[in-house]
Amino acid sequence: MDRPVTVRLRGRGGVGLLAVPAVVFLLVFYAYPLFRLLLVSLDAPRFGVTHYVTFFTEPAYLRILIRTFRVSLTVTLGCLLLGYPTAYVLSRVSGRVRRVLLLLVVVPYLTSFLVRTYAWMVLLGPKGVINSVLLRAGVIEAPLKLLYNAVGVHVGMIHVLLPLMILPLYSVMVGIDRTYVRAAQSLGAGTVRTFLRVFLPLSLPGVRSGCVLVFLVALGFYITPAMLGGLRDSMIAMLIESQITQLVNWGFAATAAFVLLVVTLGGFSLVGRVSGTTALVASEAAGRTFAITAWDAGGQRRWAPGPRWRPSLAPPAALAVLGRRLDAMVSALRRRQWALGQRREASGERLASAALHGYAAAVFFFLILPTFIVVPISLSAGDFLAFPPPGWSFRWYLSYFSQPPWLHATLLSFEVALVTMLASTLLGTLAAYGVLRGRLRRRTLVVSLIVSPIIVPPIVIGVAIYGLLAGWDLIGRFAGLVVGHAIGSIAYVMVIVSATLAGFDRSLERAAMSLGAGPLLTFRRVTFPLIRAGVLSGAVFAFIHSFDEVVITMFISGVHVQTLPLKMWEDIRNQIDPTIAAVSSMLILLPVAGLVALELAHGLRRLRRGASAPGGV
Amino acid sequence: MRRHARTLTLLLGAALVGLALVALPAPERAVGQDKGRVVVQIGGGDWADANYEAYVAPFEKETGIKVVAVRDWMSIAKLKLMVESKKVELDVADIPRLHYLSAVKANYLEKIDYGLYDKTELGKIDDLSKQAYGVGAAYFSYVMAYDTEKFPAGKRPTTWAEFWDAKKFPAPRTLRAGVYGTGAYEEALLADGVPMDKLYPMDVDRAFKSLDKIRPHVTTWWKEGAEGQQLFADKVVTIGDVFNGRIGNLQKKGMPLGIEWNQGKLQLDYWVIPKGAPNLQNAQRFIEFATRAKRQGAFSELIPYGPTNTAAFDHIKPETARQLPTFPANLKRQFHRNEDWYAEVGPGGKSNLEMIIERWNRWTVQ
Repeated sequence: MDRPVTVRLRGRGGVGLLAVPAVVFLLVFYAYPLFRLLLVSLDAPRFGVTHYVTFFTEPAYLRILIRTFRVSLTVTLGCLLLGYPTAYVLSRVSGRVRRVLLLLVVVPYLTSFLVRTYAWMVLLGPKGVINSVLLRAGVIEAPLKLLYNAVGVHVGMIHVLLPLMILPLYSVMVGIDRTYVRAAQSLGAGTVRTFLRVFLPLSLPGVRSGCVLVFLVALGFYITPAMLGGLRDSMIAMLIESQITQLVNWGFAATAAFVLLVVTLGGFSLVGRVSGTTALVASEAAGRTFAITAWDAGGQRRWAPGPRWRPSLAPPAALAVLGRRLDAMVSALRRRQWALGQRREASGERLASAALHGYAAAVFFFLILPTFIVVPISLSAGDFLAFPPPGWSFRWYLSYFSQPPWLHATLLSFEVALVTMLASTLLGTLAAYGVLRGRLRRRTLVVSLIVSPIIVPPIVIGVAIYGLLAGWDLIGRFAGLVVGHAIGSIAYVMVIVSATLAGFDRSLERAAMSLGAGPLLTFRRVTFPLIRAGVLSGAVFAFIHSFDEVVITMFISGVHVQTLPLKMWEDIRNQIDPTIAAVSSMLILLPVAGLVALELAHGLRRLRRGASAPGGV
Repeated sequence: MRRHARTLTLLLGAALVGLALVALPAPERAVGQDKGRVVVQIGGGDWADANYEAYVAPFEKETGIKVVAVRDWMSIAKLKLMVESKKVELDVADIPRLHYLSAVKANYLEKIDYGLYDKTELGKIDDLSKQAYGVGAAYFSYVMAYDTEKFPAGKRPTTWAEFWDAKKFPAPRTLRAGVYGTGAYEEALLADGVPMDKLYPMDVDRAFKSLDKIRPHVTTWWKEGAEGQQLFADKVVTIGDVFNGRIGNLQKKGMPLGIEWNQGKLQLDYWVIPKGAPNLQNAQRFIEFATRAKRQGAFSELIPYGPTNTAAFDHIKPETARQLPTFPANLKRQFHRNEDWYAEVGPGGKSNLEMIIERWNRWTVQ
């Protein structure tokens, strides 16, 4: 295992160049404008640090910053607890069920976050659905306080961010070679032990990328906490937003944004230093290390820079040696017990599996719960968002289809999102490949550059890139919108794809190469099929990021162009009519209908093929 | 293997389609490039509909000038970006006085050409509305709104002092959050006994001390106008401060809500022309047209906001007039929010608006 590493270092330096397109794009359209904003925060050309002094001497800002980090952390933990078992179940089920479940993860994401937030207000309110049900069932005597406090903030944020946890986890888990698991079990490891020593370590790149994504995105939240939380629940992005929209104090807004950015990147680089990896994206070493330590604890740690912050999983070398001796002594005994235990375990496993599936089902229910509010609201006969609706009608669907601005906005959003998705999936995948496989001198810096757009609040990006886009006459242009959206989308693709690449067994590629396949053929035939789940997950988020983006768009869309979220935003700020619920319902139902049609077509084809060639599937 | 080939072909095809789309120009809502046009931002929702019906359509009919109506709101941040990058695509927009003052200070606006105005019309436009760089478009008011089922006549608060009395009037309440600087500070001072004409210069310490008292009784603090409206529509709250037009909208749809005009807080929006507007002359003409008494009367019939041209009341039905914030009987019970005080720069080099946002942030984390 030692040699291929050095071979890679010598022979594949050029791979790092794959990150160049993404880096150049971000340097031009993101880093440079942001640098100019940094100068503004430093009062250039006079230069001073008054804004920074204000930020650090006003205790309120520090407290809001700390709270922002704390909330992001608890939200990340919540997402992990809900997301890990769910992703596990997702990776175990087959074909059709998996497609349906994946859709259930993604589809709620297509609902405008404003509508979703409203749905949560309906669900969690003092007279809301949840309290009514619990009161009627006699579980509680007084309504629970679920809204306008930290509970509401967490429920709302976890709901929005859960797909960002599940999909990277799923992409990695689906790529884990199950023979490892079976091998461990055949060698006598129990279910728990197999999970802890084999499956969990192999899935860690997914855990890492899911946590990184959720945490970073959570840092920039403000509308959800502002609407579902209390006074004390405001987050730093809200502060930045009010500085920009009310005070046009870009210096101070930029200051707060840079403090957030530096503290976050600093924190990750600290974690990275401790663990010896780039903490922002899963590194290849991490995945491999755990695969190895699972077999041969500690023995190979010399060459595998294993993250030290998870020592409990990889016992220190001395202990490991002792452990191996013990293992050898016990294993004979264990083998004998194994056959016996198999039967006992089978029933226990069934129980555990039922519990696991129940848990996942509850998570899926949580994910689609707001949909049960949004769809009925959209069928309301009343004049505004109300639940339960006063009567039923299709008038808000008719209202949507009879208004050209809605249709234009929808079409434009689809087009922009499609192009953004293609461009950023390409750039992001190449960058992930280059960063992980290539020999990059300033890897941490490159990774920070690509991932940081998730941390910088979008309103700051919007202000920063406006001048540049205006200079190139891209305000209100299709290309300008794609550029503005791709800045963030590339980051999503990069984080998710790098997780699947990290958990990837390189020996398969080497085998293909040794059999004479060139790098391109190897990529097409071996690498791409194996990381496809990750690339597709990344693409989904790239699409959704663009499709849902409202803040940057508000600035760079100019006067004459309106995307769907902008139209929704215009609408919700003025009249709370159910048209946006109708739009949201269609966004949910369209993919579902598409999937059903696909399945039907698939079934039909199978049926026909079955008829013409009996026995063939 | 065949499946992968197909996937790749599909991706490639999609990429080509994408490229073709990039090459296409953005689908613009604007049409025609002839000289006779003006681009007007008309806001959104009912407000935009009213603007369109009362001003845009009749203006096109009378002048033959094509109006490109943009359904969006102007923010001071966008105005700044637009003007400073010298890429102004917009001729007319409306902004609140708070932003008007800072836009004037930063030199983002064109001067209004009052030479175009009819003398009698101009004489009827109130003084606050006749500014060098903007003409008043409409008055809003932050009023105390209440659920009439929960608060029948005679058994409800009519002053902010009574609103603050949570023991006597227990009810889920809402007040405007101060994160944008436009919080319920005046209401807090009135509740503490400061008379309406002695609010400014504002005693900020006293305002926050008064807010301390009501804080535990406020269900939630709204930020956007639609949020305040939704709270009443869903009956999450039964009393609170909201824009009068938002409540008027719900009343029209039959919701049992009332408005207390006493101690209402008036604010004013201006029609303005961004510096460097491409159709300056038409913009001037549009604003002149939109501030005529008859037009403003038509506007107020559509949406319950107050005209700035006092002669507009000649064109408004009496039952509509009573619902407007500038109806004389309502007007005299309210006060004007003093935006000049908010714009004033204090000894620390910060405007009062900046200072009060900072105070608000500090107060929320207490």
